[in-house]
Amino acid sequence: MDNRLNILRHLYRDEDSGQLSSLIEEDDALRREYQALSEIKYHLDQRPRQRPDPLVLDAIFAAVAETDRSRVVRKDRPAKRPSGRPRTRTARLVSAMLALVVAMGIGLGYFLRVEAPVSSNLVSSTTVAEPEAAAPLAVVPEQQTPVEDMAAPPSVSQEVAVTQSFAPDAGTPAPARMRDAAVERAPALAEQRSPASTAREQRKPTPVALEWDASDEVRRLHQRIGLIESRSTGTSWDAIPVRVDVLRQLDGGAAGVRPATQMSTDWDF
Amino acid sequence: MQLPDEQLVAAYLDHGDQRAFRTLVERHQERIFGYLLGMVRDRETANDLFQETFLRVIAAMQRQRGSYTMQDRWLAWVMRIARNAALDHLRSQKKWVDVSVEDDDGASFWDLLPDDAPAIDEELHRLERMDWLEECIQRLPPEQREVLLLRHEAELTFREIAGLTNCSINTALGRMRYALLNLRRIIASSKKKPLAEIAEA
Repeated sequence: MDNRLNILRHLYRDEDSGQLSSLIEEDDALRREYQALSEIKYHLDQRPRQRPDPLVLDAIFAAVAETDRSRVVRKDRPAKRPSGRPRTRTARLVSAMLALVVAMGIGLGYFLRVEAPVSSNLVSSTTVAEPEAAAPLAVVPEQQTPVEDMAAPPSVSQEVAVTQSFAPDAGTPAPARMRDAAVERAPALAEQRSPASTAREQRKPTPVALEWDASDEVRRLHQRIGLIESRSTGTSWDAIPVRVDVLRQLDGGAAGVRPATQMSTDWDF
Repeated sequence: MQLPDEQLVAAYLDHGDQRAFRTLVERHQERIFGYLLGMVRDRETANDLFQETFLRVIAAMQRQRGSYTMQDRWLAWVMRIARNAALDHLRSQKKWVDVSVEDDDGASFWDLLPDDAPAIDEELHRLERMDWLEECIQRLPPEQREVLLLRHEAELTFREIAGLTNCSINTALGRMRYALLNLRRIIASSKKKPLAEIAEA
């Protein structure tokens, strides 16, 4: 750095100006400049200091107080003293078990809440199906065959009874007959059902249609139809046609087989 | 024993200690106000700028506007705000022209003045008027006058002045040197004229 600039740093004691003192002693021009600068600096240092008006200071202090009133000074929470008693392993285990139990309780409660609507549906459907199972459509209670015995061929008396029960009765077709049977059973069912299930039943438009959902009945019916077909020998396409009245005389009266002339025409499809 | 600025600033920032802030203002009021008065040459305007400076300081320290970091000296940070306020005012009055900060070494047309001035002690003591010296300071080029005010009034270091005025430290030193030499020449040349004529000029 220029020595003339170092004079300033020396005069104002800004930073260490190094060997300037010896240089000033040796260099005449440098010494003269040093004297000129120190002379004017002396006069500048004698200038009186100026102060702002007291009102200005008051306004500033009032502004500080006003802004500090709205300022929220954050105070740190004092640190908690740790308890002198260390936590034992048992205490930790108990705490973990408690946490696990609480978590499982919450989870169980959640799943139960989720499954509740489904189970209520199941209850309503079984409420409707129960009386139907208790009172089968066309099977006489003492002749009812358990589902597990369906593979065994029924006896002749049973077969006849079943065939008679499914035979067209007084010219009524099967759907109409089932609907009539349901209508006949309705008062009895209404007596058996609880008021709540009765109310649900009233909301249902077609309770009869649920009878077809009884798979045991359908399966039983299908097996008996197959049994009847296997026993009827003269109904193939290439068999010699036999009149019905003759067939009744020969067969001793096949149940459910009637002359077409006796059939009523009120089929209700 | 006086607490250093840094502790007072921390007391105000961390605990909202208003007394600490008051101490800071009272401690540095002459430095800041002397600089502002030297820049704008009007006491009322300097008072307004002083108040505006500290309102900005309060807002910045409470993080309402701007930000304050305790990296530099608090006074140097406040002086930057004061300088901006002063320059805004001077620009609005079209009394300030930004000079190029390309390493001009502080030189100006004042450097061309012949240095044939005699010692000035007698004249100054004889006149006993410090406002005379003030008039002479006002005739300095703006960039030299500003460095002189920042050094003499605000008592900033030359490094801080260089940072504040966005120039190199050699430029700041050069401007200061020329400010002192030119002031000496102005005083010496003005002694040959009547005082009223100098005041009018």
